[in-house]
Amino acid sequence: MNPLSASLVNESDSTIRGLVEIANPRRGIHGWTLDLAAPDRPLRVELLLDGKVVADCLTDRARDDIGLAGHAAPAAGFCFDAATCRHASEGAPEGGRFAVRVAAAQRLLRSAGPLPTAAEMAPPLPAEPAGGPPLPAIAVQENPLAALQVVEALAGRLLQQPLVPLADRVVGYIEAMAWEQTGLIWIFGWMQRQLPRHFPAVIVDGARYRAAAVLTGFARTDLPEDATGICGMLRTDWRPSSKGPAPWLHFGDTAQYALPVVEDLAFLSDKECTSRIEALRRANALEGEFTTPLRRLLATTRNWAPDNAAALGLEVRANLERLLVLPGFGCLAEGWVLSPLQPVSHFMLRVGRAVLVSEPGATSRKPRPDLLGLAPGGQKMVAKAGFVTAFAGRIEEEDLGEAVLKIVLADGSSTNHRVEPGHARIVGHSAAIEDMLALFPALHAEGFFPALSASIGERQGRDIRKAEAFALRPCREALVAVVPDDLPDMALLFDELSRLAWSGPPEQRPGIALLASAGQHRAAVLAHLHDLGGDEAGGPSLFFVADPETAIYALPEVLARLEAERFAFIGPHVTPSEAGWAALLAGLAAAESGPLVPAGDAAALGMDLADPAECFLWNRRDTTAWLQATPAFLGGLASRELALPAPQPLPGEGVAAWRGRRAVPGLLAQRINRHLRPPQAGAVVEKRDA
Amino acid sequence: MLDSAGAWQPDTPPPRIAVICHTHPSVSKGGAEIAAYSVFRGLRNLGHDALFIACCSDADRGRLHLGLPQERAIFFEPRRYDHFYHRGTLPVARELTRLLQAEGVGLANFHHYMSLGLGAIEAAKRQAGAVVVVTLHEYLAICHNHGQMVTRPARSLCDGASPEACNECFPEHHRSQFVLRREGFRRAFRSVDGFISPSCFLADRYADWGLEPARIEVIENGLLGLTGAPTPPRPRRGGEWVFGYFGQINEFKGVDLLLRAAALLAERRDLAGCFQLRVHGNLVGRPSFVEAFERATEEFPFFSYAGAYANSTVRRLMAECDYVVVPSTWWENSPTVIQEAYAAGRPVLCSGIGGMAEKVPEGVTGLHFRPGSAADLVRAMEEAADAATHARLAAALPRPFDETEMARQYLAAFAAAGRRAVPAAAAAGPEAGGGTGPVDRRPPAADCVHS
Repeated sequence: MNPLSASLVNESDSTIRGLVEIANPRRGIHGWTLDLAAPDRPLRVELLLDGKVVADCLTDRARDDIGLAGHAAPAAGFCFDAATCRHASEGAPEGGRFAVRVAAAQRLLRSAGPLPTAAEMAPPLPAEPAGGPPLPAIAVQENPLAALQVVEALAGRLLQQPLVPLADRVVGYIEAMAWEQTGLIWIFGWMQRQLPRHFPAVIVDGARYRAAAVLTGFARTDLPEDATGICGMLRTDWRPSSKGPAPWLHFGDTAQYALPVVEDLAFLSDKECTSRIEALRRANALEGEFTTPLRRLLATTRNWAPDNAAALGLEVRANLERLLVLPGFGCLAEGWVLSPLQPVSHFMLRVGRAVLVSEPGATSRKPRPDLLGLAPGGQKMVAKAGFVTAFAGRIEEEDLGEAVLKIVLADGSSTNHRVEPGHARIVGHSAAIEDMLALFPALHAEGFFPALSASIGERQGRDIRKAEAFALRPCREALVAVVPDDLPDMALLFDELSRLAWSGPPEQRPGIALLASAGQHRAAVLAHLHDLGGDEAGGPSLFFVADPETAIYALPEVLARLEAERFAFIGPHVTPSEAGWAALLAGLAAAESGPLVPAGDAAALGMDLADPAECFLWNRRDTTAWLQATPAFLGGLASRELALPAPQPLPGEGVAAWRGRRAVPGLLAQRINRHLRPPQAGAVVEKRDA
Repeated sequence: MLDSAGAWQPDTPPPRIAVICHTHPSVSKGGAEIAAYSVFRGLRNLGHDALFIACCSDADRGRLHLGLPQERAIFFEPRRYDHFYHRGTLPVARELTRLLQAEGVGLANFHHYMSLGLGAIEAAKRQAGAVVVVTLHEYLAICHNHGQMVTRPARSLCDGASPEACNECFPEHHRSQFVLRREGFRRAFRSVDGFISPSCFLADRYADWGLEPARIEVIENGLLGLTGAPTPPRPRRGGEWVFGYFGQINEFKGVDLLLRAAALLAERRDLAGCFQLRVHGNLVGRPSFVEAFERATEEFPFFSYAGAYANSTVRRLMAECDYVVVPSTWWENSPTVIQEAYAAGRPVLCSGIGGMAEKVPEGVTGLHFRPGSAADLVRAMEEAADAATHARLAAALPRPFDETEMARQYLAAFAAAGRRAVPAAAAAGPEAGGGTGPVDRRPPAADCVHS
C-alpha cells in the first residue's frame, strides 16, 4: 500500500497527508506532511504541548520514500530536534502530551505511536558517570588546555541544577566571541570583579552543554568599579545557532551566576581576536593569574603547521603509530617521541577542526628499544620513548581529516608531527571495539571508560534503529523475521517460511516482513525473497538493517512502515518448534495483550531455548515504547541485555523457540553494555548473570 | 495396495511409483545412483510403469542422458543448496510436487534428499499426497562429515553423533546448530512412511539415532544386469596371488593403506615375490597422494595400476584376481564392490568394520583386517595366500541378486509402508493442521528388521 493512502491526518476528507514517524527524547519529533493539492508548497507544522503551540517549523526535508507520482522526493519532511522538545518540556506539566498539527489545516497528524509526554521527553539528566577515579587537578599555568578539559568534565554536577534564566543571577555579559579552528571559543565581555576566573559551567540555549572557562581580566572605563572586562577561553561542545533562545553561561557551585550572551553579539575573525588580545597585552591591560597561560594558549592553538620541529630548531622526533578514533568521545593513541633536550609535558592532537589534549591520568610511557638506531647511545631516552594516551573530546565524523600530533615540551614550546592517514582507524567502522584493548588492556578500569562507553552506545543507537525498505507490502498482522548472516541458518529460516507459502492463498496468511543486512549475502536474501513470491502481491516485505543482531531496534520503524498493529518477531538464529509456529500464527490473529513468548520446557525438549526478546508476539504501540526506552546494547540480542517486560507464555504443548548460533559479544562489549544499562535494570541483569 | 509378496491386491489400483534420486547415473555413478536406477529398472521389468526422477545440477545439463521416456530430470542451483541443514529451495520442491501430481505418482521412493532438500520429502507427502519411502545410503542425517561418521580432521571412526561431538569436528558451526540439524531431519522423517537400508549396520545406526526400528526394512542392493554364474578360480601361474582393488583411488577409500602395505611387503622378500597388488579405478586423490601412488607403481614390481574400468568389465577384471580388497577407513554401508566380487566368485579382504564386516563374515566369505593397519592387511594377505583357504572362502560366497529381485523386495517394503502410511495432514506442519508435540525420544532399536 502506498504510504500516501495510509497515512492521513485524522479526517479523511482533507487533502493533507502526513505522519509523525519518530518521537523520542534522543531524536526529537520527526515526520512528514504534504498537501496533495499542492505537494510542492511547504507547510507550517506546529508542535503542541498540552494543547499549546510551543514550536513550529516548515516542511523542508526531501523524502524520496513517499511515492508521490511526479514528485520524486517532495520536501515534505519536518523535524523538531531533541533540544527543542526538551526545552519545550521544561516547566510544562509532566503529564502534558505532545501533538503535531499542520497549521493551515488545524488538524493533528497521525502518529506511528503515542507521542510522548513532557516528562518522557525531558527525562532526568543522567547522573555523573561513576566508576572512574576522580580526575587530578591540573594547574592552568602548566597546561591550560588540559586544565580546561578536566574542568569541563566537572561541569556534570551543574547539569543537575535548575538552570533558570533569572535576572538576579546575571553577573555580567558576553559581548564578543571568536571560534578557533580547533573548536575552542574565545570570549570577551565583562563581569563582576570578585568572581572566579576558572570554573566549570553549563551553556543553555534550549539544550544544555558542559563547558569550562579560563578568563583573565582587564580594566574598562565603561564599567562600575566592582566589574572588570573579561577575555578568556571556553571549551565546550556548544555551537551558536540562529534558532532557539539566546544562550546563557551558568556557573558557580549551585549555578548561582550567569553570563548571558548579548543580543548584538560580535563575531570576531581570527585576526580580530588576535589583534584585540595583542592590543590589551601591549597596553598592559590584562590582569590576573591566567594572563600568561592564555597568551601561550593563543600561540599554541593557532600554530598547527605540521613537521615544524627542524624549523624551530628543536631536536624532537615523534611518530603516532596507531590512532583509534571514537567520534563523540575522542581518540586512543599509541606512538613514540624522542626529545633529547627537554622532557615532554603532554600531547595534543588536531583532527580536522577539533583539538584534543591528552588525558593526564591516562598517559603511560614504555620502552622502545627498537628506536636505538635513531638515538645511538640513548638507552635512557628510549626507555620511555613509547607512549599510549587518550585524547578525550568530541570529534564529529565530518571533522575527520588530516591529523597532527603536537608534542608540548616542559618549557611550553611545541613541535608538530603529521599523522600518517593509514595509521588512523575509526572504532566500529575500520577497527573493532576489542582493538582498543591493544592500547589499554585494562580499558574498563580507566577513568574515561564511562564516557567512552556512553559515546559508543550513542553512536550505535543512531545506526541500528533505521530500516531501509526494499519491498514494502503493508499488513495489519505481520510475521517479522530477522534473516541471519549465516548461510545455513538463512536457508533454514526460508525453508521454515516456505511452509507458509504452501499453506494457502496470500490473503489468508499473515504478512511476512524480513529484516536482513545488505552484506555479503544480500544476493542470497533476494533470491530467497523471490522464491517466496517477493515480486507478487502479498509477497514478503524486505527491510535492510545495519546488523541482524540489532535488527530488533528497527522494529518501531519497520512496524510503522508496514502499518502493522500486531506482529510476531523471530530473531536471527531462532527456530520455533512446529507447535511454536502454530502458536505464533494463531496468536497473531487473536487480540490478546502481550508480550507472549513460546516458552517451552528447555529440559524436556533438550534444546537451548531462545530468550523472550528473541521471539515474541506483541503489538506495535507497546513494542515501540519499550524499544525507545531500551539502550542500544552492543551485540543487540546476542548481548542478552534486552529484557522483554513481563512476558507471558503462549499456551500449548511443545510451544518453543530454539536458539541456534549466537555470537556472544566480547568481554569489552559486555563491560560497555553494563554502563549502558538503565539503573533500574542493572540489579536484575546482575542477578541473572549470577 | 500391495500384498506381502509384492503383488498388488486386486481391489486397489497400483499406485504409480517414482524413484527419486539426487542425480542421474549418466552424470555420476555413485552407489546411491546405481541402486536407485536398479530399482527403477527392476520395477519396469516387473511390469510397473515406474518413473525415474533425477534432481541434477543446472551445470550438468550437457552430461545428462535420459535413457528411457519414463526418466525425468528437475534442476537445482548448487550454490543455493544448503549442505548443513539440507534445505533446498522452494522452486525445486514445487517442481517435484508438480511432477508427481502431473504423473499421478502415488508412491515416492527417495534415494536421497541431497540436491532436493528435506522440504521435498515433506512436500511429496503433504502436497502430492504420496506414500513416501526413503532409502538410506549413508549416515548423512547423523553426520555432517559427508555422512561418513568419521571424525574431522583425524578421520578416526565415530561411534555416535552428538551436538557436542559434532561441534568438535566442525568448530565453525555452533553446537545448537547441530541440535537444530538433528531436529530438522527428525521432523522431515516424520513424513516418511518407511525406510529401506541396504545393511543391518546402517539400519542399527539410524535406530540408535532415533528412527523407529519397525519402520526400517533391510534390503540388499541388487546388481544391474547380473547374468551368468560366478567365474571359477583363476589358474595361478607360478603360485602368484593377485589382490585387486576396485573403485575410486584416493586416500578416503583406503588406498593409502595399500601403499603402506606395499612398502611393508617390499621388506618381506618371501612375500613380495609371490604377491601382486593390482589397483583399478580413477586416480582422483590430492596431488601429494597421486605422487606417492605413482612412485609406488615405479618402486614396487608387485604393485601395479591397471587403469580405469567400465562397470561392464568389472566382473571380468575381478576374475583376473584371486581376492578383492576393500580397505575403506569409514564404516561403509553396503559397498557394491562386495556384491560384484561375489558375482565374480572372488572372496573379499576388507576392513573389519561396519557394512563391510556385515557383508563379509570373517572367515566365511573373506578375511578381515584392522581398519587403517597396513601390517594387519599384510597379515590377512598372507593368510589368504593359501589354496585351501581360498577354496573354502570361494565355496561359501552367496549369489547376489539382480535388479528385478531387488525391485520385488522393494515392492514388499512399499506395501508395508503403504499400510503404515499416515494421512498427509497428520504428517504436516501446524499450518496444515497437524501440529506435533515434543521430540520423539523412544529408546533405540534392539534389532533391525530384515526383509
